[in-house]
Amino acid sequence: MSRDAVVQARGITVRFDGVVANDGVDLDVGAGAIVGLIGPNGAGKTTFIDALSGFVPASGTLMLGDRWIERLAPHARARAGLARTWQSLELFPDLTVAENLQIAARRFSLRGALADLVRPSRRAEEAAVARALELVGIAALADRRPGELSLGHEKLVGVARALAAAPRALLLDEPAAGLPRSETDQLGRHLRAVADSGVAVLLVDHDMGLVLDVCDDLYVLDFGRVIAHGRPAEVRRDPAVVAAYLGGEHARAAEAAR
Amino acid sequence: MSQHLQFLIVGLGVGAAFAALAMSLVVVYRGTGIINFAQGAMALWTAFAYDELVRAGDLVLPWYGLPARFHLGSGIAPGIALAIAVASSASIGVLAHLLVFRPLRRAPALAKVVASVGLMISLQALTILHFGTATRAVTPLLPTGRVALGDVSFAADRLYLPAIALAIALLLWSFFRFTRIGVATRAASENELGASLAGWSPDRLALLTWVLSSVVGGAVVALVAPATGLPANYVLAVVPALAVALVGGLSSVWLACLAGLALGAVQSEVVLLATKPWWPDWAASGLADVVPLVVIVVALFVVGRKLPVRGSQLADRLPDAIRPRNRPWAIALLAGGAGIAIALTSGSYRFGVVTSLILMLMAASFVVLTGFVGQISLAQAALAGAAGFLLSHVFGGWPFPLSMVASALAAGAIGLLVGAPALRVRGAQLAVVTLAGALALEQFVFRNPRVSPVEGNPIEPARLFGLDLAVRGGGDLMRLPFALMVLAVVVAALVLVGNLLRGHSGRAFLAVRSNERAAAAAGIDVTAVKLAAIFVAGTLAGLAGTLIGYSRGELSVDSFTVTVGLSLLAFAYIGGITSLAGAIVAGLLAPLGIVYVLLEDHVELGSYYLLFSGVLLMVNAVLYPSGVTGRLREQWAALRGRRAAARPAGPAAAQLDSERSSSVA
Repeated sequence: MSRDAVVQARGITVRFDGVVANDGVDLDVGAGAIVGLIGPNGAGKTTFIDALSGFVPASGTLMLGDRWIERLAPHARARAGLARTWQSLELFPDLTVAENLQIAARRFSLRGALADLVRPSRRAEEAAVARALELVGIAALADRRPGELSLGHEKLVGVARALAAAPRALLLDEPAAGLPRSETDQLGRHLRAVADSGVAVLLVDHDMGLVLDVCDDLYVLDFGRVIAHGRPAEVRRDPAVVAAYLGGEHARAAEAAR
Repeated sequence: MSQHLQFLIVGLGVGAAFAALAMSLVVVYRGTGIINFAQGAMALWTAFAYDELVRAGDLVLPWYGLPARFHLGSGIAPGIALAIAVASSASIGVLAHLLVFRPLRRAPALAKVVASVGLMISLQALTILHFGTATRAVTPLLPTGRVALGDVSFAADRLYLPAIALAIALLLWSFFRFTRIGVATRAASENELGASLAGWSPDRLALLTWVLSSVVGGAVVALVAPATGLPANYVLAVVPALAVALVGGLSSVWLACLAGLALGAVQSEVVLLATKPWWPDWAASGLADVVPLVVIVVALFVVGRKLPVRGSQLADRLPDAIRPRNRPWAIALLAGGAGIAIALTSGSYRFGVVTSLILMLMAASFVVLTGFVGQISLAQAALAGAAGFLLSHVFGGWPFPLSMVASALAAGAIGLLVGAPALRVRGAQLAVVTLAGALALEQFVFRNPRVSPVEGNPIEPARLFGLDLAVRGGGDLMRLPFALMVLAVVVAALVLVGNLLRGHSGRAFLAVRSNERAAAAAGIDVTAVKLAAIFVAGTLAGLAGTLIGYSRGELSVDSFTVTVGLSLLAFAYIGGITSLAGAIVAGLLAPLGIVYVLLEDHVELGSYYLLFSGVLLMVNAVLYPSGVTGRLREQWAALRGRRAAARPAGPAAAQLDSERSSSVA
């Protein structure tokens, strides 16, 4: 697995004022694979994605393909091929869906800005944008604004925006949170299609159905440490995981059912 | 040595005012998350009100048109006068909160800064209208007998003032530390929702902090005024106060107080050093205003990342930015209209038309930077002045369009220098550092007789291929060739900027404006985008500065003061800061533009126009954040909507849909 891993994180450690949010996390994601990262609330899953994408200071090393990227600024990591989505969406409300994708598909450069002065590039990277919209099945929404869409569609726009940059690896932070069952299933199929196109996908989610269903490989995080790793079927039976995570998940499910 | 001690003690007195204003800034920031640029103006009003009570026994209230002056009897004791003045100052704080800042509590930081600038402009104008522009000697309240310390002697109030500032710091600190309501204010500054769930209304806490801050700032400045004199431009004392408030991370009352006293002492020492024979002559004037800029830049580098950002409940979005379409017929129509206006007018009217055209570039610079990238610069007028200055002294010998373009680009580069320190921090810091930069440029460069000679900074008339583009000739206030040259430059610049904004760059600008984190995650170098916007905006302002220079035949400092810069921001916002159409309207309305000239025929405008722009700025910030053009656009859309609804459904509805999608495209 690790030989052809696109993402290789080693010893990722994040401290917030004395609290260790990630404690020496090692994790691999291979090309074309969907790797799940689960754990109870506060286990450090989102922090891990923030650390990999450069939004919180972390120690440890991170290799993307054959490049060390742990010292790069967030935008440079994105340009190197590491895309992410956000739990809280973070779309650009001022731009249409297609323009949201164009932002990711095309760099802002000073040379481009100079060219814009004379010949403004109104339509950019239409092929990449169309492909990304197609891949997650929202081509019809291209000219809408994010604020006009349902939560499920907004989540898909987030995924499509990340894909529009033609990334080598995609980090997804709870893409299914708040989605109804049917949309979650659809999301699962879209993610499979994304991975099959050769992208390495890291999926953080609470929806055990989705995670167990689509992931090839599963990591479990608790108090910032990896407590289990393996195929979903094995991990599900791991007693440590049951104790740390699934108990909490039952409580969550009960809460959701209320 | 004794000379140093003398200056040190004198400086501490001035520093007490900085300390008090800085503590006021900290208190308001903690209570409301607003950086109150009007703090100096509010304190200035209080000091004048106090002086007017002592001098004439009149209470003057801060408005115009309504009866504002009430005679309370002559021979009012200074202590009572101070109490009344401070009470009126507290009521300004209450009104500002209720009418302006409370409605804006969910608004983006940009709107809050703009509104506080509006308040600052309004109070400055009211001060001038009611109290005049002359510097006053104010009746002292504190004892002023001479105190001797070794061979140094000074007025006693120099010792009382820092002591009072320290006492206020102690009181405020105890308040925030030990009283339940003070602790609640601190809690609300970190988490408004949490505080309100615990039963504290963030709104009432905010009101309390407004009162506290206006009382502290106003009272101390009124006490310091007898020692320093009271110039009408004291509103800009907010700049050193901002500097020291930043030293305290906008949250520590103690640091703000101590740094304020220290800044007063340092300024005073620097002024002393500048009189020494070894001090370079060219660097002797305006030094006191360079010190706060240095403090701000250093403070941003040291504490920038740690500045508290308020955990506010859900903030509103900025108004939609309208990407220009640069349709050829629209450009031809507007340029043709301007050309006709130029051809049909002469004298001061043509001057007004051309000034309006030039100020459209100024307003466009705010549209690029503020409307599209969400960053506020208060230094655009100073950058325009810098370009004019360079045209006069450095690039004047170059052939015409080149000299102008080089000066404008250099202004863009200066903009980068001024703005760079603020880039690492989010929020209103760019406004702070650019305001300090503008003040330093004005005092240290434009008003420095060794750099900018008193006989003026002449600007040679432009010539292009033998064509004489001089502004005046044979009794003509503004010759046609000159006016057409300005029109050509303005149209070309606006078309280029329109291209930039409708291209991919405009998209990237808007992405950064709406969400910096997400933009970075999408691969946008946020710093590069901001720098590019600062440079473009600075160049536009610079271009306007060179054209103003050409139209006057020289660079006059008074066209580029900090106050002029603030009022131009006001008009850019009033016109509509999120579209180039707004910039065009702003140019028409701006001071000395064509509307102004036409009105001036009937009424004496002067300071009224400043008051008008300040009040309108606050009204716009609260009610119409998208400005005049945005408002018109909304009403037009609503009208179309009604008409379409009245017609039978079907094709009309489809038309409406396409209308809507094209207006957002």
